[in-house]
Amino acid sequence: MGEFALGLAHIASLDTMLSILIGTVLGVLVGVMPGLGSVIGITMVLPFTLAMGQMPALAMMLGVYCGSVYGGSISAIVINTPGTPQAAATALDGFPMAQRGEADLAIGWATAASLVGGLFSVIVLMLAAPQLAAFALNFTAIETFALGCFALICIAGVSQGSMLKGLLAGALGLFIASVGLDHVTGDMRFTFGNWQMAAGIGLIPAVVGLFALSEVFIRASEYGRPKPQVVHRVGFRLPPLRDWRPRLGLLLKSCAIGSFVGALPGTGAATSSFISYAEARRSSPRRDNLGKGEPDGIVAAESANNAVTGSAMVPTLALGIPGDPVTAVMLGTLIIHGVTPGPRLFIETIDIVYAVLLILVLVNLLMFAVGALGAQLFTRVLRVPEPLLLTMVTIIALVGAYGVRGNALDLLIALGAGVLGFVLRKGGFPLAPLVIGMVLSQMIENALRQGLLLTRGNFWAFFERPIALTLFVITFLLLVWPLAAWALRRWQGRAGTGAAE
Amino acid sequence: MRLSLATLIGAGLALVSLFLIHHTFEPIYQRSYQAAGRGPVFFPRILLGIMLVLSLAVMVQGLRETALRIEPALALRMAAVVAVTAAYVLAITRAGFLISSIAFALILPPLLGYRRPLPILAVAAIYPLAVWYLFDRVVRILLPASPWFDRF
Repeated sequence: MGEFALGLAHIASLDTMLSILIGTVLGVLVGVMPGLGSVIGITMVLPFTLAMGQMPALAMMLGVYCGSVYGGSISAIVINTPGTPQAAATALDGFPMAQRGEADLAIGWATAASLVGGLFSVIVLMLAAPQLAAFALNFTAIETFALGCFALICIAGVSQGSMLKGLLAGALGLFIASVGLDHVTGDMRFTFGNWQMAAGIGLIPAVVGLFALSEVFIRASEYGRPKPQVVHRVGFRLPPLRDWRPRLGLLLKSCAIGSFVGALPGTGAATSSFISYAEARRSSPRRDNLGKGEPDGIVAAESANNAVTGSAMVPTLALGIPGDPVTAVMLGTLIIHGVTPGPRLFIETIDIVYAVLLILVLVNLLMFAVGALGAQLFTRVLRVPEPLLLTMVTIIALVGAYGVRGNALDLLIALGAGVLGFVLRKGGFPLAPLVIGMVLSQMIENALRQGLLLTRGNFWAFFERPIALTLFVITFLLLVWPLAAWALRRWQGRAGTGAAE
Repeated sequence: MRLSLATLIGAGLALVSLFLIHHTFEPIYQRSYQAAGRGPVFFPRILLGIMLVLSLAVMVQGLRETALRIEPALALRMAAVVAVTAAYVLAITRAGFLISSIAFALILPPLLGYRRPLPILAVAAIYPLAVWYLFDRVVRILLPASPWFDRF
């Protein structure tokens, strides 16, 4: 109880409350703008958090994260263009409702479902993270190595695009983070005599380049095809209670789907909202109306994508393993502010975990209020010309890249990462494994080297430990599954052709 | 034969991996080979080996993808945007954050096809100044200053 009170004391300051408010409003704004998304939102506020205390910085990050996931639904409903990929499923029923003149009601459904999803995920975080952290306390370097490999393969496997490209992006991320000082021997690696490179390639400049700058380059390469946008009249109307009753089961099921999917590495809110939408399409009594403006679609998508926000923090806080680029940047920011995520966080500084939980609750409540009061205002942002907006994003993002270490080299790293991100995105490579690879690199390398010391250089001894062995087996299955599925399909195709002949 | 972008990326990464694997055998990395059981390039060498194999696989897989098609006008615009961003990044540490950001805010929107002078001028005049003032003066994250003026 003492720790909980301490957690409460952490957030009971004007600075933290203001950060929650500003972070949530900014998050919703960023979410509304098509194409910006949660990662760019967080990189935009990052420079501000450098000058803040630990709690206000954390509060602002969480506000932007949750707010941006919700904000995407507003533009999905109003202009049929999801502000974030997470809200793509919301557009399927939200926009037809707007076309019927019920944009206010659609936003009401989305806002309320987002609130329930968000609060549900806080409960999941509260219950699951301490259990996972307690379990992870038994891990030696060998289990940590196995877990790191599992997380990376998982992310590469389920990322958008082909698995091969995901794996290559993950390996590239691991390698990029190994440039600079070797933490064990103190040797310089791949610096080619440049002393500035001794500090290595920072995560934040890389993320700024990979996401913010590459977005500008992508837009530049696609201009000349303006799309006409119809902005429907917007407001906020909460659905009556009698309309909720038949949808309570769907709401809870979608929250559970979102929370489960969110806790898995590499999946995230976009995946969860589509899985949940597909489940609604399969099981809802009103499934025939889905896609034609049925609130079930909005409830399923929005509760699931917001249920990811808290549960994605479970592996991030309990194991120090982020599930997606957003939580990876948040993890980087936590470390900058002196919080080291991992099992020990739950023993040594549990008050910070309580503070995170309380911030998440407040952010979700505030998100509801902000959505209810400001929906009409937020849609005005859609009128800001995109070139001006991209210019502003580039300037603030580069301040973020420079501000973390005050190193001019970080600006060049951001630029290089921007070009790399552009080329990879155009080539169909997912960026999430690259970022997660960068985050996990040092952990995996240290665990491998420590593990080899423990086993006197015998790598096969890694497979003698049950938890590690289980993780290695799952990792191996994840790796060979696409190949096995392809071979099976080919074999079935041949068998079918043979039977026909 | 026209190749897909994935094939080109795979080939590029394969070449980089080969070069870096070769680089790990340079004498500078051999002197602390015994430290902590494994030397400094033990882990990167594994990664580069994996990258090489995967790059070759992506190269082959890319042969089945649609060939790279470049629209000259868009490619030119994209190259110009990259060049302007690169010039901006280099100028930040040479001409200072404020001056280079104002110039960048004046140049980028027209390059992206936006030609209304008043909003461009307003953004170029207000936004960089606001960002600079907020960070440099209020929250004291010192941004690069110009060599010509004392205050910015």
